[in-house]
This record gives sequence, structure tokens and C-alpha cells, in this order.
Amino acid sequence: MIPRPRSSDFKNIAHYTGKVVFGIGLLMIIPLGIALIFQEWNPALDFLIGMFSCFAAGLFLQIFFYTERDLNWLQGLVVASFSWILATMFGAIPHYLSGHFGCYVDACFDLMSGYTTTGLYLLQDLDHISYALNTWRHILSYAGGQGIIVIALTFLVKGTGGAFKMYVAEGREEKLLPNIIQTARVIWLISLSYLAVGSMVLWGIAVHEGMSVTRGLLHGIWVFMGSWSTGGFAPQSFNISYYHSFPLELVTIILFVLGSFNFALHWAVWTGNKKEIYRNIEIISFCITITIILTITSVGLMRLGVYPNLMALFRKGFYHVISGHTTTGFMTIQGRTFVKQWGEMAMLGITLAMAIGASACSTAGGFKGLRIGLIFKTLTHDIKKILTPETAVVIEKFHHIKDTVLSEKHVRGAMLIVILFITSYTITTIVGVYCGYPFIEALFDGVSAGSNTGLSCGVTSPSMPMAMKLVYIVTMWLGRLEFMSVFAFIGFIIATVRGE
Amino acid sequence: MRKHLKLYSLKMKILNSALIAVAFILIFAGPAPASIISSQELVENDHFYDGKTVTFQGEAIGDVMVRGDYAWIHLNDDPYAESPSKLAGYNSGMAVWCKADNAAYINFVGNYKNKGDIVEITGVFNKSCAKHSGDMDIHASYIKIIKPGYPIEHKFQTNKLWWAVILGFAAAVFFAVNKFWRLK
Repeated sequence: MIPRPRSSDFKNIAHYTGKVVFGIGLLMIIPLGIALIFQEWNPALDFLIGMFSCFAAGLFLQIFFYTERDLNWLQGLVVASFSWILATMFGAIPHYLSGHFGCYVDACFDLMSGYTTTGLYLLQDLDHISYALNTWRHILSYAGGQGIIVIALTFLVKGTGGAFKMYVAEGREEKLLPNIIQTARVIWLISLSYLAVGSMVLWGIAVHEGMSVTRGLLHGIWVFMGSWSTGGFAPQSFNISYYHSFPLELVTIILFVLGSFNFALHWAVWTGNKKEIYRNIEIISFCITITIILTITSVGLMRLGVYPNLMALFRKGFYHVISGHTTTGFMTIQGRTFVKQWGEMAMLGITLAMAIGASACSTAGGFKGLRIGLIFKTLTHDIKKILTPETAVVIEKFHHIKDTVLSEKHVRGAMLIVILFITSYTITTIVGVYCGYPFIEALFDGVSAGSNTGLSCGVTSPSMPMAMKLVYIVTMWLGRLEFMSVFAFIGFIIATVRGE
Repeated sequence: MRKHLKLYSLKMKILNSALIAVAFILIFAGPAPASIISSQELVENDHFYDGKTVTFQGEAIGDVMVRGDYAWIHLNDDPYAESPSKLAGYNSGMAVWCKADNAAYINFVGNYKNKGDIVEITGVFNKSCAKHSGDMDIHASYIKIIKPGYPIEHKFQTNKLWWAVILGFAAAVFFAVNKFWRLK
């Protein structure tokens, strides 16, 4: 027997979801300002409509479902997943009104892709969109990278136990400081500090490479947001290849590697614990897997003689390995080049990189390095147990901010999430193959969506079947929230319908 | 006399024909006319076209990025180059490396406010350019502006303004109610 949710459950969920929706409206002030500065009057109206819709809906939910009760675990999980749905639907209003989308679902696809820092998009005629809309796309990635719940916690929610439950439900666990609101603010402090420095550097490079000062500044900010958030949205359809700039590519690599690191690691280094960089299990795991994948991809590319020299191999091969592994999705080649030139071995290398992903509690997606590290540690632990006498007690430790003894709980948690990710990748691939795409291409884009990466070999497009678009939206959502809060949300709906 | 006249007129005809031919060559100086190849054709058959001279046409978009004596331009040959208002999928085009002097003829680059010049180029296609670290590009030796660009007029959408006013009013009412509620 499933207990039916009480009215207080609905009240709590609606009230806190209202706060998140209101926060999305606040974010729209930035693109609205850009629209006014550059005299883009119709986009300004689009953002006014979007912003007022968010304010009206957010305040409506907060007033009519007013509560002062704190959230319990189930409510926190449901708030996180439900907020992402409403934030997608309301955030898509300016997108849809821009006239660059075939239908509202396409606009929602781009919103979910932005929030989840995926970077796949269905927007049409990107090269003619307004500065305001381009700003909004990149803000989605930047905000989504920190987490839209983190935004709400930073500005709109009081520091309570419920706040921590919402925070955890968004796929994060680390508390950088004892208070969760302070933790959210530290995440923003880290991100905004990098934004200031990174944007200026990219601006300088863009101007040096022949762009005007104004466009260089905008592109500098946009590309930073796409890099740091491991988002992958780019301002032009040529993506990063548009700039034809080695310095810019180098800086973006540094930024998305930094963005893919755990915020707890950033905070540890910021507060003077520099040893953490080379002791942390995620960094070690990341270095090992990147070496293996780089070898696979390079062998694949060199076997076919795709690139004429080592520099080309670095700027194309290495760039995409890092871009895939950090789940960024920036590209320095055209999507179809993966299929036409790279061959299946190199594509499998990149697919593997995307599937593994980067660090937990970062802006990145995928299995996460921590889980890969834990699974590997478990394997070595079991081998040690076989090799030692039965009476011996074998203890395996791992270092992640602090030394921790590997336990059954860690392993089960890691394995469960990895299995769920593999299931998600399998489903997206099967759907792609069913819709008529070749296996390797369906796998590539399917894993890209599931791991929130954004690299595409040409499968993702406005003309792809509606079923695939919907599956990708759900997959991106599941991958970003790491399943549990979405399952809680589905369970909550089932309990509402069938509970007693 | 007649013979002389006939000979004279024949010479004149030959001279005229020669002059017309020279004039024709001078007017249409440049590469031999070739069929325009699409970016899709180049991407899908990159091995075939690699190192070959191709003629490509598209709308100049984004920026003209000057690098010393040369410049990067990007030409889109998607349907938006013809009719900017209709949705027709993603953008598609080619990166072009050309002399900065030639790129200077481009007055309009495509963006939200402008329809870019339609530019025709002839040059060598590289599927993985050795000079540009593996970029797929065309090194143009000849550039021609086919159709000049122009500023795009975005008609102010009054219906959106009304929606903004209505929703703004609703948000203000809820805001006032929320404020009053809290004070209570």
C-alpha cells in the first residue's frame, strides 16, 4: 500500500518550486538588459513576457500554497525535479517567442540542454539570433552549472534543513561550509571569480584575433560561460572552430577542466590545501581515464591518417577528448566530420570519454570520476582479499577531501548510479537505432545527451523525430539530477494517483 | 576596288571579333566558370574534394577576422542566405581563408540586425588543412560580391507589448498581495 501524499506535501512542494521559478525570472533581467543596450526591441519584449510570466507564476505558487514548514527528504527531492520542469517550461518562453524554433518542445529541449549543461540544441539559424537570446542561452548553461536550486538557495530560501535536502536532490552532496546557504554562496563566489578573470582573458584573445571590442567582449563572456559550466553552447554555428585560434582553444581547455573539478576541491585549494590537487581520487581517476581514452582516440585517428601533423592532432583529437571527458561539448570540427573522417575507433574513444564524465559536485555530467575511482578501488580490494590469508582484514581507503575507508555503502551507491547511467545510454541508443540512425551515430549522440555533454555527429537536429527529442529531454534531466530525485518525483505522482 | 573593300571588311570583322573577345576576357577576368558546390556536398565528400579548386557561394556571417595580410571569413550557404525569415534547420557553411584586401570588400556580415553580403569565392578546399591545424577550410584565390547585404528591419511587435503589459500587471498584483500577506 502506497500512502497518498497529504495536502501539506503539495503545499510545501508548490511553495518552494514557486521560489525557484521566481529565481528564473530574476535571471532574465540580464538578457533583458542586453536587449535594451543593443536596442533589440522585440527580444526585449520576449524577455519581458518571460520574466513577468515567471514572477506571476512564482508568486502565485508562493502565495496560494503559503507554508512555513520545512521540507522533508521526499519533498526536497520532488521540489528539485519539479522545479527543473517548471524552470524549463517558463524559461523556454523567450526562446519560443524569438521565432527560431520549430515548436515549443524544441524550445524546451534547448532549455533543458542549457540547465543541464549539455549543449545540444535545436535552435535554428543560430548565426542570426539577437545578442539578448545568445546571452540567455549562455546564462542558462552558467546558472545550470552551479545548479538552479543553488541559485534559489543563494537568494531566496532561508537556511534550513529543507534547503540542504533540495541541494542534495540536485545531484550534489558536498557541504563546503557547515551552513548550506553559505555553501551555495561559496559556489557562486568561485564561479563569479573565474567569470571575471576568464572572460577578460578570452576578450583579449578575441580582439587580438580580429574581432571588434564589443563583439569580442560578448564572445569572451559567452565562451567563458560555455567553458566553465561545461555547457557547450557556442555563440556561432561553427562552434569553437569559428575563432580559428589556438590560444582561445587552450584557454577553453583550461576553463572546462577547471569547471569539471569538484567545487569541494576548488574550495580546498582556495583555502590553502594545495596537496588535494594530486591526492584526490577524482583527479587521479580523471588523469588515468583521460590517458587511456587519448591513446584510443589518437590510435584511431593516426591509423586513418586524418590529420596532417601533431599540432592538428592536438587541436582536433586532444581537444575533443578533453571536451568529451569534461562533458563540455565544445567542437573544433563540423559534426559530420566525426562520421566522415574520424572512423569508429576514435568515435568510440570520445563516446567512452563522454560516458565517464568528470567530477561529482561540479558542473559536469556522466558517471563521474569519483565513482569510477571507487569501482576500481573495490576491484583492487577484492583482488587483495583473494591474495591474502582468510584471517587477514583488508582495508581499502580512498582520499576525497579527507581519507575515507571504503565501505559497502560507497560501492553500492557508486555501482547503482553507474548502472542507471548505462541503462540511460542504452535506451537513448536503442531509440536512435529504432528511428533509423546508424548504431555508432545513435550511440554517440545518445551518450552525449545522457552524460550532458553536447558533442554531436549530426543525429541531433530540428528534423529528428519527436520521440527522440522527448527521450533526450528526459535523459538530460535524469543525467543532471542523477536519477534519484526524478524517481522520487515519479513515485510521488504514482502515489497521488494510486495511493490510499 | 571591290576586292579591296571585301578584304577590308573581312579584316574589320576579324578585328571587331578580336576586340569583342578581348573585351569579353577583360570583363569576365577570373577563373573559368565552375558549378557552385554546397557545404553539405563538401563535408559529405571531403576526401574527393580535398586539394581541389572549388567555387563556393554563401552569406558572410559574424565577423571578418583579419590576421595580418589575410583574414578569416565564414560563408553560410544554408536557406537563410536566400530567405532570412523562414525556418529551415541549422546553419551550414564553410570557413574561408583569403587576402585581407579582398575581405575588405565585404560591407555587411550576417547577424540579428544585418543580412550579410552574398559572396562567391574560388579556391582550394582542404578537408584537414595542414597550415591551419586540421581546420576544414577553403583558401580563396578569387572573391566576388554577388549580392550586397542590407540592414534587416524588425517590425515592432505590438501584440507582444500588450502581453508584456498584462503579465506585468498580473505580476505586480501578486507582488502586492505577497507583500501585504507578509506584513499581516
